[in-house]
Amino acid sequence: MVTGVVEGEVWDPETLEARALSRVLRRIKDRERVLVPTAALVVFLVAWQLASTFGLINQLFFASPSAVISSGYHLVQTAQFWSDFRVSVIEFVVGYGMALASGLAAGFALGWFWRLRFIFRPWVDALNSIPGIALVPLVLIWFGLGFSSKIALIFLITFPVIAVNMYTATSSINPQYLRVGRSFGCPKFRLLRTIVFPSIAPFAFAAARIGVGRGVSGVVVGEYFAANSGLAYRLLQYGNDRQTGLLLFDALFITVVALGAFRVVSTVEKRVLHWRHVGSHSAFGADNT
Amino acid sequence: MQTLTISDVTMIYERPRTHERFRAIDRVSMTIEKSSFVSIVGPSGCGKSTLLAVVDGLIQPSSGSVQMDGRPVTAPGPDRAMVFQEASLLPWFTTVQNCAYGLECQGISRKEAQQRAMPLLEMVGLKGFEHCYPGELSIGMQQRANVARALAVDPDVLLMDEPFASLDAQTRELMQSELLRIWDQTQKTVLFITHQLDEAIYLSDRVLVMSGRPGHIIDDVVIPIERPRSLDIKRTQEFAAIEQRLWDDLRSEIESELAPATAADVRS
Repeated sequence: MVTGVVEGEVWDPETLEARALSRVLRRIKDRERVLVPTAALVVFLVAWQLASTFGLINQLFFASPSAVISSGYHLVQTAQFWSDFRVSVIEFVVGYGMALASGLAAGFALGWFWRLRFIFRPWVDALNSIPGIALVPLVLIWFGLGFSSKIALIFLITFPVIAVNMYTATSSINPQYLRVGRSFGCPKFRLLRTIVFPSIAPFAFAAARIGVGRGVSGVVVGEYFAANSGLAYRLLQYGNDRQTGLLLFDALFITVVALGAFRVVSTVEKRVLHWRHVGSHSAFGADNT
Repeated sequence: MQTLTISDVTMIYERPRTHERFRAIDRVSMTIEKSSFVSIVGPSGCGKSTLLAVVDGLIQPSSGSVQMDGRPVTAPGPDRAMVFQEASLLPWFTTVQNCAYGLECQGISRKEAQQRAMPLLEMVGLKGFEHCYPGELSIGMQQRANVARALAVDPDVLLMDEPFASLDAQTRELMQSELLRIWDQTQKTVLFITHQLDEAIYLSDRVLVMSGRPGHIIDDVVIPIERPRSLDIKRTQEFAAIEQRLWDDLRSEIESELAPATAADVRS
């Protein structure tokens, strides 16, 4: 019976049980964005494990999830793993830091002074469009095998994308805001501080975020060609030794660290640009007076 | 007792690539009495905003001059403040920071600037919204803040560049009467630009009509309607007669702008 007459009583949707049920359903619905991808991941891992267990995937080419976990469990207990981690992190921090600082400054200069832009833009664009790996031979000639060549490579891969984003942002500042500043007789330095820098800050953070990805690939490429330690150097070694369990764990670990770096940038951005994260409701809220 | 004199201002622009020169405004002159409310109406693209930018000192005229109480205007100064047309509040500042902006540009400390901005926010009806960002305000509220920002520097002349153009009709009417109330309280000289004829008549002591490009003054109409004015005057005979006169002034200008396109349509 759908109309809901139960033993002479009208079924009331507002009974306690019905309310409790609907509350549970609602709670599930609220968490759908977490539950659905989590469930999908679990299904994927189980399928992968089963495919490995029943021999559909050759362990020699691709380790099973359990093999990845057990390799990782043993790996993180070795001193070598953590020293590799340290090496890679230092490379990333130094290379990315240099690229970020100089990319932001150079990009701003190119955006602000049109003559500089005319001179240097083709070079920055060119550097931005060639794959980083193409620069390896030259970097090896200049810096040899070692720390400095890796830093140079990370820098060359990361710097241009940050600079390009910055000059685009700087040359497209809303002229209306600049006019406001000039109309109120704002001195030049204050104009930079109160209008120019806040205008380009969102783009600077976007550039910093893109730069994280570039920087990590710089670390990997650098360690492939010019290293005897580091997480990515080890990645290559595990590949040569056909240790796919260690290889996959290492790759996963690099990914997690990269995501962490990305997260750090996003968190700083949310702190600094809090004005961008308010008022999203105003498109629908607030009366028009 | 005159405040603002514009004499023979001509503005010639050069197009960037073609180097073709065109006249945006042509020998515009006017004298604006202290504490009066003067509007300029004209077809779009007639150089109204250019004229206002010249008066503000943002751009230099090709010839002619602007004088405040006899002193020539060469750059933006604290005696004039502009209320811009579009959303021009700085989105990274809260309402009170925006309103204090002009004062801070003059070197007044942040704390004092904000203290001085507060009563103006109250005057424009934004009390309680001091710490909102522009993104959280409606367009009408943003324009109120815009007015407060200009008033905060306590200028002699308020330059308003179609400040209510992007508001809906009801909000615009409301803002018009609010503006009259504020004008009455502060006794500022206002130079107001609009293309809404009824807005110009309702607000002003005097309406100047500009021609199509190159813009020059083609009519100067004194509005004799006594103050304080209620919105009801828009429905009086007197009001309609003035509106008709302004419209007659403008019609030929607008028609002549449209003429070439129409002729081309006929030929094709």
